[in-house]
Amino acid sequence: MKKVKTYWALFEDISAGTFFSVGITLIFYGVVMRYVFNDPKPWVEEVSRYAVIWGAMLGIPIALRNNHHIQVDMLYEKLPAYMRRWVDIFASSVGILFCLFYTYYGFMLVYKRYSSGMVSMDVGVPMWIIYLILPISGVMFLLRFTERLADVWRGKEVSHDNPVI
Amino acid sequence: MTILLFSIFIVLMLLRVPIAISLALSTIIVLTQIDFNLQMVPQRVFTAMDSFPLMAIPGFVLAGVILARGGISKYLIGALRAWVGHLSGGLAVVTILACMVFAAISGSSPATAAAIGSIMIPAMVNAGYDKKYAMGLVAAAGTLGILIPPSIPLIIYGITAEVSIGKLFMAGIIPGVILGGVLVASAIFYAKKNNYRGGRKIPWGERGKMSLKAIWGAFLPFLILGSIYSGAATPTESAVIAVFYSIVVSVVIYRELRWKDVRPIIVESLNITSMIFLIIGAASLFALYLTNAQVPQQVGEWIASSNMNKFTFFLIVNLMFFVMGTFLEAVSIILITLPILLPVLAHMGINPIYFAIVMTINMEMAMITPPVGLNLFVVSGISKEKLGEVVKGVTPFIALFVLVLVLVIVFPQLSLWLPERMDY
Repeated sequence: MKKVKTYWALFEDISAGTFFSVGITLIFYGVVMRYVFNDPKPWVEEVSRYAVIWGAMLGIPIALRNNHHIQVDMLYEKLPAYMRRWVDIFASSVGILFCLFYTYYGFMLVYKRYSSGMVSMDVGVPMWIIYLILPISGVMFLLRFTERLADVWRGKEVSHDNPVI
Repeated sequence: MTILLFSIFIVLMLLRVPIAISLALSTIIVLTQIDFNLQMVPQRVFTAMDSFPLMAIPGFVLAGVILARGGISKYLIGALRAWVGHLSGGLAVVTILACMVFAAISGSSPATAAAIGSIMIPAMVNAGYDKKYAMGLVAAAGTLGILIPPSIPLIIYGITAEVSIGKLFMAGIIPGVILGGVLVASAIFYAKKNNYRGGRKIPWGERGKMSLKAIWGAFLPFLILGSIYSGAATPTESAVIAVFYSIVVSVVIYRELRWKDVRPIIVESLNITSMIFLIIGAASLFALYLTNAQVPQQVGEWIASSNMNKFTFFLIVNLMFFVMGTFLEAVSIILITLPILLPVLAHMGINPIYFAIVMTINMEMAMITPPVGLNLFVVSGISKEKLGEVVKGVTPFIALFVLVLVLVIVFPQLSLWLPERMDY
């Protein structure tokens, strides 16, 4: 199980990191082509935008893994330990609920765009492919919240404190 | 309905649901009550992120992470220490100046506090400074990250209010330098009072050598701000130029980046970028609800009928920002309040660029007021001290922030003079 988790984290990092870096590099490529070679590439802006968004959406579960989604501890810190466990269980369940909603409606959007055959403005990529990231990141986010729920349910000592860089 | 929304939001937040999800879910619950087509929700989240100016955020985040890991911040601090480290209070002054330079490259306050604090807090403590003071100073000076351009909150403000991000950036420079100056003055005063000595004086030859080493990093703020000010590059373009410039400097000149650093750098940037992007998505749903329920119009009409003057308006708004700032972070506050405030600004004839700077100074205070203050978390993390200790150290600085805030409110020219000099 531990090995699976390590490889899954690696998969998350590689997939999100690739889209993210490619997006940033493409923006730079666009700058170089425009200012150095005086040959602006109109497709760059759209493609780089979608690449960065894909990277950022795939990064949402990573940010949960590293406790980077900011939360308020004001009340939590004052609660006794057994109450904290129930608050943790509640918070993770709410997260799961959100992911289910987001994945379902994300998938519906993909399905609708697939039937209508709508394409992107500049490059003409079918929009359903671009929107695929919604259900994909939704499922990956769901997995991380499920992991968190399992951890707090079993009373595992895991810290979900606010981010420390 | 709006009250229901806020009640659910606050309950979820208090039960430790991440802020972004609390905001999204409370809005979705209310949207189901008003027969809203829920299929619009994911599309709206996507559209909110789908903006080229927004891509400046990952750019400046990445540049900041590379800077901190690639040695640039280390050499900058080294050079500053060589020049002023020997003066009384010198190390505190070095901390503030280093935060200012770092702020002019990175757009985030926690990143600034982390990069400078991890080096300067131990250095100050070793030199005999009170640890609480050292931590408070770093948390406070680190907030300059969002006032001195580039700035993530100003990017988001610009996109939401449809104002030029370049102009907003320029508007932050003078207030940022004033706030930095006030902090420096307070540091010198504090050091004189507590009789802190500086280190040994560095000979001129060594100073030159250190400066030469740091010059590559010191050039970066001029590259970023110069390209934006002259109109040669958009903020997004200048962000990626900064990324590749810092990669080249860190790899070729300082030789401090290795292949093994790639994964941590990217993951760290993704943590911050994705956290912000999720908040942007969630807040866009909230904005969708507000427009649907015509809340901005109602507030606007209420303000118009109440004959509120500018003084009362600023008083109420600043108090509201302060209260929200204690438990929310900057991006959420801007995205929640700005759609409501914009029509009011237009009605009262308040310049949105000037208001952006007023708001940003409030957001700086939000970063250092508990229970949720990102800079407090970062400083408590790097110095391995309890949050309460950092809070004690940072509290005296709030008075200085309020002083500068009042100055900026009373003299709009402090923020407007520079952007008005831009050609486009």
